[in-house]
Amino acid sequence: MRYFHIKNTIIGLLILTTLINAQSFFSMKSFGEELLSNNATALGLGGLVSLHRENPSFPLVLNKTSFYASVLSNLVYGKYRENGRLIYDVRPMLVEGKIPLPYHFRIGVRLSEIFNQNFDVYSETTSFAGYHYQRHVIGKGGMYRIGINCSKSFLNNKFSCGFEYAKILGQSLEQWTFEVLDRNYITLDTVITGYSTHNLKFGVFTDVSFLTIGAIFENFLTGVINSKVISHNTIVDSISGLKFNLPQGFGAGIIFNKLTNTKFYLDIFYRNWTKTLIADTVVTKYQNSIKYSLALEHWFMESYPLRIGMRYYLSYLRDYQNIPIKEYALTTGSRIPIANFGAFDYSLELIRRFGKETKETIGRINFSLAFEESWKKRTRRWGY
Amino acid sequence: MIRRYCFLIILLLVYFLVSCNKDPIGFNELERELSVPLTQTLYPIEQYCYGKNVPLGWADYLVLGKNNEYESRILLKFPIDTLTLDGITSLNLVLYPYKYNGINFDIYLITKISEWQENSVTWNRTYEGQSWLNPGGDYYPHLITNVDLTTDSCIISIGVNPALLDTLRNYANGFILIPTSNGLFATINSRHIGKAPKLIVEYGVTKKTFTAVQDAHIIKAINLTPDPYQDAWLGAGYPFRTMLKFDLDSIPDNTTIVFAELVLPVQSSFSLSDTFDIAVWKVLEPYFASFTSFADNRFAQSRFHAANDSIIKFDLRNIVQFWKTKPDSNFGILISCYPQNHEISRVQLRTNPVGPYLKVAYILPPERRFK
Repeated sequence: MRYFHIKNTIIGLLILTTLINAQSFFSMKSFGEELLSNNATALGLGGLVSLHRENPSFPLVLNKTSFYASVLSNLVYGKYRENGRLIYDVRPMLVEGKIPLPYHFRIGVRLSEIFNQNFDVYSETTSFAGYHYQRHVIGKGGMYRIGINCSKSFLNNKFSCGFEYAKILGQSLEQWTFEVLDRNYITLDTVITGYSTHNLKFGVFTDVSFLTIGAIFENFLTGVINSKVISHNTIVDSISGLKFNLPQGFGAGIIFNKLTNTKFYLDIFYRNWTKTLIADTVVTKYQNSIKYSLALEHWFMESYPLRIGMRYYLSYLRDYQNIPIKEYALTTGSRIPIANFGAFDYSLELIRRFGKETKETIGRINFSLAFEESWKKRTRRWGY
Repeated sequence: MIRRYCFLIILLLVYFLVSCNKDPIGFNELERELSVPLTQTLYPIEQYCYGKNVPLGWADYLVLGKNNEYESRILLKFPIDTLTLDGITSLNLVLYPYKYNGINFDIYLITKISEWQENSVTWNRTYEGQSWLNPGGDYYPHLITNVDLTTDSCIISIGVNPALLDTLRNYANGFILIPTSNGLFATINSRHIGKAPKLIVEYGVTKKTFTAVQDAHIIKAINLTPDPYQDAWLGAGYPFRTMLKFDLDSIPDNTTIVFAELVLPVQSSFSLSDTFDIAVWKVLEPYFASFTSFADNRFAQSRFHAANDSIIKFDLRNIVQFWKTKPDSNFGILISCYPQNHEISRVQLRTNPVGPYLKVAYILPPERRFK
């Protein structure tokens, strides 16, 4: 019976995903929705950045080969004045693997989404020359990081530092539909945008008494944007090699773990978007983004945690009335251990994101599958 | 099983609830300037109208009749070269009218020297490059019979006169049916299985049936001569065609055509049927009067209701967009009834004070995400 439910849920989600693909009513702006955390554990704890897998030096101790994959399921109810609309989206967000090496070194690879540009919006119905028309714009795509990282633990696993290099690749495809409703005439234009840049990230993680501290710094190298507009099978506008510099990001966090079975998390991440350059010109419409996460994790039994968190996020984007877009979130999550395999992490998020008039209420379910393998032969040889 | 279907139905309902909602949430967050659709009304810069005899042998129905504007005759040929004349007791021509209207007509034998061909015969020619001696068909003056077509299955007795039979087999190229009553038209099945014209020969109790191997109708237009540059006529049977060309230079380049509607105001129409189709073809070369070539495939098609319609509209978005992209290909369009060998029909378009026009709306393409 359980198999039946899982199977049908998957079929149902696939149907919905295939036919409706949208993430946010704000993600058509600029680089789209900024995704700081990508796994169910971190998202269940309010969206940790410096204290979890986004930090290349995480974890402090790695004695098992670890693979991790995450899927995000997103249900957004948008509201603008008296209108409301529901959109839905399911997509993979993270695939990661880390392998321990001798002398407390470890290397890893990581594929994750950093900006999401999925959206699906309709215009108001307007009239011209006696006919009514409506525009419909669907965007799909985003920016993704493909990174390799290396880290090492020192001081008897009390301190670790790590470095990650990532190639940032992205593409978005927007379909602009113009529909004359009285005649059922539909015209389609397409905008394709491609991104390419590089990212360097450095992180540290340390255990000091009952505190665990993590910090990261990331920087983007100069990248290029290529874009073209295709109308009636003809490229009517294009640009290639448009330079852009994404801003640096800084993050820090503390875990308070004095209590038995309970940890408190505080995590902050900041990105100075006001330094963003496009075509060597500072983009003035952005604001610096900041995210605060506060969370608690309590282990009822050895393998069953309860995670509760909250998040405040000030986006780099402003709405069309120049009002900053903010986000408040309540999060929770847990983990189901899988014998001889690893664990299944899940989290639930209830998010309220808003500008002045456009408001989103978002329900998110995130799933992560963690595979952890002990290597007994290596353990004997390397001592960990 | 029931739970499974309930589950899927609920999912589909959720999907429809979600996908059918087109409320404008978030559209104003696009950050990109959008052009307002602009409209233009364009009038033809070139217009040419002509009528032309075309072969009608492939039509589904044969038209027989005449009025003050048209005359249509029917030609029939049967494979009777090996017919044995001795012992014939009766000879009957069988027609299956679709509409009969009580029309009266004469039947004659077509002369042997006029070797007509179904796929190319017209009022003026027997086949490609060969004319009738007398336009409208060469036939022996001896009347075979006169017929009133009053039923939907008409058996016409030809008679068994030996001289007639000999002429029919050895010195004729089939029958020609010539209408005598004015103002009436009939349509006779040609292609429907089992309803093609037949010739039944009886030898006492035995009979032989010959199905027409070739049949066609030929049409003459009487006193129908449009002014090539002032009139705009469309027709079938005796096709009238109108070519129109519009100057699109006033529409900016790189625009997306969202609306291009060709509007044809109707002044008067004539048709044997209540409805018929009108189609648009793309003209392929610069204007060369009635010799201008046009595409084989029609570009747009619209149903015309003779009793109700006062205007005809076509969606020409794609072709206008094509012309904007490749202006050198803009040789205009040709409009006529479709199919051209259909029953007789004609539409005379109004040309004054407002004649055919093209209403175009366009928008500028969307902006890139990053300028």
